[in-house]
Amino acid sequence: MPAFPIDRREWFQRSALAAAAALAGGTARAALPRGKAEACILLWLGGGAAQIDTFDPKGRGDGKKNPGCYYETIETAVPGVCLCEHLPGLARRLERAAIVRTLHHKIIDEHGAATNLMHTGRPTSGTIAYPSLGSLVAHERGANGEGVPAYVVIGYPSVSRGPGFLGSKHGYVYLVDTQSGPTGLTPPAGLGPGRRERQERLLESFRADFRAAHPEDATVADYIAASREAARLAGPAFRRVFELDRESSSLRAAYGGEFGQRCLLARRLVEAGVRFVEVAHNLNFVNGTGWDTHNQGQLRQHGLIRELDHALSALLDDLERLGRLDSTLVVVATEFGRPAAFDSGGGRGHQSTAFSALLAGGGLRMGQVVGTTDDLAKSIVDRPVSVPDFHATIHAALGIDPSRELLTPEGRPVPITDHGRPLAELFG
Amino acid sequence: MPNAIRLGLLALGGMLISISSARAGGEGAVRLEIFEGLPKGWNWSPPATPPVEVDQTPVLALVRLPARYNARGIEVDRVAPLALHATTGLKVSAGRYQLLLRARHAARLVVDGKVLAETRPIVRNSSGHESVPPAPEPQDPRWHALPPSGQERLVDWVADGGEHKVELWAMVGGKGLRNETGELLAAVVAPGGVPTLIGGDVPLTESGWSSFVASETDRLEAQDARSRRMMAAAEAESWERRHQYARQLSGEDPCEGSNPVDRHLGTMGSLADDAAFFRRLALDTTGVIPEPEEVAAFLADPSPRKRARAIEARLADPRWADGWMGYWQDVLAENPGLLKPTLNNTGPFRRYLHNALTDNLPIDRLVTDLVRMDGTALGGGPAGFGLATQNDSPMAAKAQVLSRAFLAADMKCARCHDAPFHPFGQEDLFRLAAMLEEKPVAIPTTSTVPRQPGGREPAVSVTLAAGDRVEPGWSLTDYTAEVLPREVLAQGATLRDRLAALITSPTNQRFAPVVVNRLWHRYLGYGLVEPLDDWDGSTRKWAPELLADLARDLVVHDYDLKQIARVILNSRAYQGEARSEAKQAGPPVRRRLTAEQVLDSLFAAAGKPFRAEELCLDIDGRRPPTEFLNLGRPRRAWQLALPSNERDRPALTLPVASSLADVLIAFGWRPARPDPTTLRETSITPLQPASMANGVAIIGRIARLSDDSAITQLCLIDQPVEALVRSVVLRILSRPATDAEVARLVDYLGPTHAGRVVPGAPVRPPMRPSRRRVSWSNHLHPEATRIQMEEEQVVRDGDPPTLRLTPGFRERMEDIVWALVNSPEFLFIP
Repeated sequence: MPAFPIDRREWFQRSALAAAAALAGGTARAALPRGKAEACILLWLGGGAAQIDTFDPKGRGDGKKNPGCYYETIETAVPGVCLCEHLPGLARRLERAAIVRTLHHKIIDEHGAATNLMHTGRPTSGTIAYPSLGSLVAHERGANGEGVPAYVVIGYPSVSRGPGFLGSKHGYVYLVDTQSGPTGLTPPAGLGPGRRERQERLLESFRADFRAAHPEDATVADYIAASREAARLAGPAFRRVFELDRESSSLRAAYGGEFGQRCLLARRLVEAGVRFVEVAHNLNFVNGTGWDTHNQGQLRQHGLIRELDHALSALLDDLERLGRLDSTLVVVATEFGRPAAFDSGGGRGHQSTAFSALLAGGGLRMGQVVGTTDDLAKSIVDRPVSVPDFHATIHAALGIDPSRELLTPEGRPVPITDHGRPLAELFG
Repeated sequence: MPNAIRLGLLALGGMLISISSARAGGEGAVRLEIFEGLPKGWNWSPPATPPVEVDQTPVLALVRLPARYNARGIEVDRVAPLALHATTGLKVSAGRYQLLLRARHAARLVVDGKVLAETRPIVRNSSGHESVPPAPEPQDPRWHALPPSGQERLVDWVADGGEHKVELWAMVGGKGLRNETGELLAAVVAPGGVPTLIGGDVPLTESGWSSFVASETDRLEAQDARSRRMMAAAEAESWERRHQYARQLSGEDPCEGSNPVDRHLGTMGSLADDAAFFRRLALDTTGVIPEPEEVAAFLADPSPRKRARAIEARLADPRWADGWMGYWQDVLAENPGLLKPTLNNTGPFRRYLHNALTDNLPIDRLVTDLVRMDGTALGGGPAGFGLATQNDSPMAAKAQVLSRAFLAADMKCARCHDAPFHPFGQEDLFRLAAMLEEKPVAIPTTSTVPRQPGGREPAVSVTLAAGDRVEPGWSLTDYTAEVLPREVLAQGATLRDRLAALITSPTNQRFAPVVVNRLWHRYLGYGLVEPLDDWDGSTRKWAPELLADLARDLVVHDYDLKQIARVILNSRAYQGEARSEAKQAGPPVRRRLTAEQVLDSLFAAAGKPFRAEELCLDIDGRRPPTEFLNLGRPRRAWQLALPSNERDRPALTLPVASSLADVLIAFGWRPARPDPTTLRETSITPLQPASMANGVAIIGRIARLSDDSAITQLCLIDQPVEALVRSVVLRILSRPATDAEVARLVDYLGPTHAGRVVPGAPVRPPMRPSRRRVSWSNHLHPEATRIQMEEEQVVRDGDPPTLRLTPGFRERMEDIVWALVNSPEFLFIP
């Protein structure tokens, strides 16, 4: 057992000095790009979307022995860049988006671990719970308006989406579908007129008694203050954001089915001041498996792709119409990709050596493709993009320094990304 | 006619109108033999080896196998392939019957040596693409419906009026399957009747079966406890030797004569009133608010000894174990996953912990069991503590958990480099890890500090490189020397035994003080030493002599946690009025209920059970335990777990469990526990009051006056309105209502109270999601998603409101319940 080395405070000072020295050392770090986006909508393709059947199509395969793209490819608005035939809307709008084709990591066997990696930007660790992208953005930038949470998930709650060491203040409010409203913030259906107000008045009398009995207790006071904040969040102003029928029926139709409605809701949330919205594209009844297209999940994968195309196109048009596309970064991401070869059931397994994601809006330089893969969209030929680099790009677009160090409750310094560098070609 | 039953048949005009039966054999009418390790390809022939166990069961039906324990009282896995053979006699009046066999796996029903019915073996599944089985349609609506994983055989049979020998053979589990019996039963059916389980008089109706399951669950738990304690007694002598040595080393009992807490902290200050004390005591011991009848009796008791008596009753209450569970699950990072292992998933060793707390194992013995990592890993034994999936060095993780939990040595940083502000090098941690591994370990690449190209120099010191081998050894020599007295560590001990002894030895200066300080913190809301789990940095220390006396008391009383609890709970400090903050040692600080206490107390207040799903995503039992665990049906909050639904698949939801978890998560419960935590986050967020005000579990269950609500029952009693509101306040807040509150609530009910009862209105059953049909094997089918989304809606709708009270009155009373559980008073320990 070595002697006690140094005092905690002294250690931090040393560590901070070292960091400052590194910055002053004139590395490229000083010139990190910084974007002006004010909000982010992450469309999450849970299950592992096949890059070769979507954003990185190659020669045609047959669904059996011959590997390759399952569909025809089509030209896009960006000369020389092709997409799969089921993304016609995006193809027409590709000058407003950038495709990253060379994301890669090392996890293929387990969705949970890869999902966690793609959300936190780090491999899971036994000594610390890392915060999700949404929680980091919520922590760094807070909400962009009064009376709304900073971070909303339209999907199922999960640890990967959680705040990790940042603590529950930077967690999310979630809803599982657009019908049900945010969990905990939606007063029950069927409360008659005036009933909630009547309940609140009765509750207020008990609150007042308890407060009076413990006037100097700060925790009690905090709880009561939080109750009022909760009542405000559950009140008519925030609830109105969820009333999609306030939009024109033609716009609602343009967005399409439940996933499209989620995208519309995401836009409304961003308008109301929510900083980060994650929308899960999880409706696995479209093709059975969702994006995890093993076996027969492949057969109707085109339905899923078309649904994405439809909703994403409507979202980009709508943001542009409202003049919000430059200030809203739209990200389409997934936990890994899928191989060009088919499994015995005609579907695809998992692949993490190369897979694709998409960025749109957010004031970034669009109409580009970052990175090139080989003929089977399997190996990276040019410009590999690590998960930390991808995260750093999103943070930088939102004006967040991806190298800034946060402190865990125990005092351990943890940079926002694991040495991620923003993709310079998307800035300036 | 032993081991047989008589079914008296009363025929009237050729129609059978009733069956009655009386068991001749009493308890244990059925002989049950369990065979393990059967030869490959075994095909029902009488096994060559004798059964490993012979039991008695009341009827020819099983809901699970009894647990099996090793010579230390630790639960072990049964050896597959495994079969059971249950035999009984059946004597019924001569006539025509049918015999019913239900099983999940291969089973045979043999009568008088002749095979009458047979079911198929389980077909393993890995795809998830099967179609959803149709909702079961029973032969007769009165019958208990066949579970989705079940097979059913119904055969004609003629009884001659004499005694028939009935045998049930069944395969259980096997390679790549959990050792579950499913619903396994044999029954006799008289024409037009309801099946009766053979060997007893249990009718196979829904209510007959569910009360059988409840009584079987209790019977098996009691049987398991008996065999566990019997087996564990084998080690009693060596532990007695150790404890005797510890007592000698400690000298006299510091608690002899007077309460050491009172001796050190004095007896000044005002006492909490009786109601506050009683609610506090209940929450601190059994983890749930007291029953209103208990409160009333306590308040009415004039005895000056009543507090001490109430403390003894709570210490003896079996729910004592429940009250501790969430705490140790956090501290020991118990982290089982329902669906395929992810980071740091452990086995569900919650089962071992609950048993150990129920048996009140001395804490040194409990820690020893954990360090030995014995028994079943995935079935709930301490070996499950040893698991850490997807971890590059599970034993380094466990060394870290153990040292932090029981020695307040925070070695977290030492995982990847020498700790910058703790006296631990990376080698210190990995030496302990090597003791747990029982061999040298290599430093994994991922547990190092990589240099980033162009990055700055690491600010931490790194003395080991990836791949360096570290020998086993004790590194925490400041706490105790590596050489232990013979009384503590016998000859021939393994390295794990040695590590366990080094941690728990009476010569270890840390173990006993760290443990008693944890208890003190739980009951008083602040530690005598803080932080609780890190004593090597700067610590805040209060009343060090008191801590020393409590630590000595623990040792002198053979490491019995209940003894320390008894001393603390009986102290003037514990029973004092709660403070808003602690500036020195004294009465408790006001604490918010833990997440588990909130949920359990809500359901206690409403008098309703959870009615949550079985916590399993492979309900047809066709996948291996390495990928799918079954954590059973939760009865208390600590038993909950969530599917880690990173897949976002609606078909993988557990809607009732999720509605309960929403409340737990808002109040700081961790749905995954990849790392140990002593203090949960206590920050207050709007989602806490929001989940109480709007949560599905509160609105649809707790504050819903359905026919299964205890508050509905109160409202149906013919009593004055003042008495009613007093009983409701007592039930929810465990104290008498003030006159002002009575007036306020009576006023709120207004004229609705008179004429509130609707005579002759039917009683409606509570919310019950339909029987589950969606399992992993079919969850990718579109029908599975549709069904589960419908189930979510059923849960959102909640318990149907009673029709026996007028809507006008019911809604007003629901508002009162809502307001009382939402009041901050409900959420703070008084």
